[in-house]
Amino acid sequence: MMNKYKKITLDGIIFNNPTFILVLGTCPTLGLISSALSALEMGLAVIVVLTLSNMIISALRKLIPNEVRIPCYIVVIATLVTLIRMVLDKLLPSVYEALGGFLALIVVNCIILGRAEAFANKHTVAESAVDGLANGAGFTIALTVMGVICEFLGKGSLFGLKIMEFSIGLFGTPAGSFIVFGLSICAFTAIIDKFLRAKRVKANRLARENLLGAAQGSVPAEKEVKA
Amino acid sequence: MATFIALVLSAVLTNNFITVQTLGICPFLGVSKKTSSALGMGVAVTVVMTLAAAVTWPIYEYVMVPLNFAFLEIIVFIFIIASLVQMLEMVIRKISPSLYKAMGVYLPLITTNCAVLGVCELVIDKSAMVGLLGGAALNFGWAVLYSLFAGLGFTLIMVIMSGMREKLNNTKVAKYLNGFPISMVTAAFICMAFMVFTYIG
Amino acid sequence: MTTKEFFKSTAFKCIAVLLSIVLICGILLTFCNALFFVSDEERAARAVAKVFPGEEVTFETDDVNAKYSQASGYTVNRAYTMTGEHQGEYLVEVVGKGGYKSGTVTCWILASAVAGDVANPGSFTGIEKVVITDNQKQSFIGYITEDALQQVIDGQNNEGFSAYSGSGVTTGATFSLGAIVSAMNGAKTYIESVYCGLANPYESWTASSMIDRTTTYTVSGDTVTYSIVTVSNSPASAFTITVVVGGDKKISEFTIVTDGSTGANYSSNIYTGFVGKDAAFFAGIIGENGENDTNSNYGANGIATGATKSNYLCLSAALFATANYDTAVAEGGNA
Repeated sequence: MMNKYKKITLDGIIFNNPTFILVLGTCPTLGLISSALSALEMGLAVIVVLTLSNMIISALRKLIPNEVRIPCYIVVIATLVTLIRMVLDKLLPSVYEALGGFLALIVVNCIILGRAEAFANKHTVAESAVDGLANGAGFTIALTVMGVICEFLGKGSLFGLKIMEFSIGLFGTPAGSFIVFGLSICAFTAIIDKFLRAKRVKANRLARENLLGAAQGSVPAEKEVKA
Repeated sequence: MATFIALVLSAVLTNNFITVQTLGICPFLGVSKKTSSALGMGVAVTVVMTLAAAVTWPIYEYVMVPLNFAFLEIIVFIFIIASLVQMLEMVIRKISPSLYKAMGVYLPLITTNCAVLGVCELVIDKSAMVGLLGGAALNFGWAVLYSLFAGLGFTLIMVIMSGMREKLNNTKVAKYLNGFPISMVTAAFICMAFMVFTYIG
Repeated sequence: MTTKEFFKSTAFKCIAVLLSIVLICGILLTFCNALFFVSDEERAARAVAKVFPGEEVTFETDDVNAKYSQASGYTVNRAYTMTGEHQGEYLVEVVGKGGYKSGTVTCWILASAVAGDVANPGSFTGIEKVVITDNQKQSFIGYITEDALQQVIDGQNNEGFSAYSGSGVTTGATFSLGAIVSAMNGAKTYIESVYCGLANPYESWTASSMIDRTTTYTVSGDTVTYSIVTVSNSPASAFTITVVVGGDKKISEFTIVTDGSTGANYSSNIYTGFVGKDAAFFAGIIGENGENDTNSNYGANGIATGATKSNYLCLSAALFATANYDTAVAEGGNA
């Protein structure tokens, strides 16, 4: 039972990371990673919307007819985005200003509609909630890591705190965001690939050892029988 | 006339949707392998962007704001865009099957293209439009014209990108760089080239 | 299809579900909108709070006067009159133009000024605070220090603010500072024009080049009574003239209240010759917009006095009064 949630979590954050592996939601990623703080804030906003939309859609999955499911999902997502916009505008105006137009564009973020279509409409509310949290966390971690890199190189600061005088202006522009995003995908897939291969090699070795062990164990036994 | 030149320069070059505002990246990376498909997608996006702005602007300005439900803009806009795309698909299929063959496949993808919703949200934002074009540009005509040229700017970058990717296809690329990473690095070079235009005063 | 079948069909189910979801979402959002609504006053308070960190301030939001808010060097976006502890201060948000790469710098400028109107003009005292909030393309904006801004503020003279006055302001961001100085001068001009009553209300009127901004006029029925104050026209000094223009757009009274002429051979009575004349007559002598100040055919028109400079001032006043009759009636007077 626990294993199922662990798998959903690991898939969302690592093996099916929406940003690095599936390359979804690229527009807000490229638009906001020039600042680590706004990248983190965007990630948190997406976690909230994604988790809630997954839960609502999962709860309604038996009610919504297949033919009109996409419009229904869009209405639910758009409502959630409008809601989070209102709440941020009222309570955290600085975040609302930093995210600007990208806040409204969460509605067309493929990650959210993608998870609704691929996961939430087939799974229970609890599973969908975990899936939403995991995918949102995967998105947030990816954005924050790239945000830290871009801000450090582009402005010489981290989360707005100046730490060095040296900076390369390019990394504060979309061109720098593209480079960091591209190379991050490259590094992430390489690491995952190495990890999976190591796991496979280990699994193979274990299997061979088992086989050998079984063979060695069985051979003497046979001998004994023969003897 | 001066406003028109400012509009063209801003929409196509200095505030290009892809290279500066980073909107519409999904089709930019997904449908730019071949020049023909990039052009088809670009034209389809341009048409939808212009139509969407032409429908949403008056609805927002003359219906939603006076009746005090401007806060529903996201839901209303996304519904209008989705129905527009659906209608456009039906109309094109009826009128010209060959055009449908060329453009039709891209149409369903456009509903979730953030460039379309992005341009609708941009042209209703008064302070943003004043910043881009000056105070004289706050009416329906300029909003639609801006959307049209923003779409053309989008198409331009799509075509440039597809040309570079066609060349890249003949090149050997390191294993992990293949696919999205090398496309993004290529895109970064296009962005850098377009940064030159920010020097236009 | 019978009614019963329709209610059982998939189409009905689809429509019913979609509509009810839209309805529920709409109601929920309407409710939340009322709950989280951010009023205009709250938005203004947030913007102003950025200028006064850690301070509770009170203010009134003013409409931006479009006549004075736009100029080549600046745009005034927002304007507030401070009340309470900051009484006598005005806060404006100005975009200064002409920065690096033709970019702009947006800043809040808090200035103190004595309020007034056309009759009793106030004065601009000085800038209290400059807070930079935004910029376009100003990559060196970080070099603008508080000290440098203070130096510019202290260097205020009759011409306004300048980054190049002898104060020796050096920042390393000359263009960005230039844009800020444009914004500061813009704020000064705007506050002087709108709050201090120092604007020339006749700037856009016909033939107003010799007319001082302290000129007033009243309209009663179809008669306009001007109390025109001219500027000086060396060696003649300023005249004050009462001019009455009737419904036929002709002068019915022309009385010199303050005589600015220096010459002994000058006679005020000669100007009674103006009575009964219209704008075309005066335009025929000094031009449509009063541009012809060296015309010597005063004699031909029976108004030669030997004091040409004074003559020109009086003719300008007469032309101003008659040519702007329609404008004056439309505006309805300001005295």
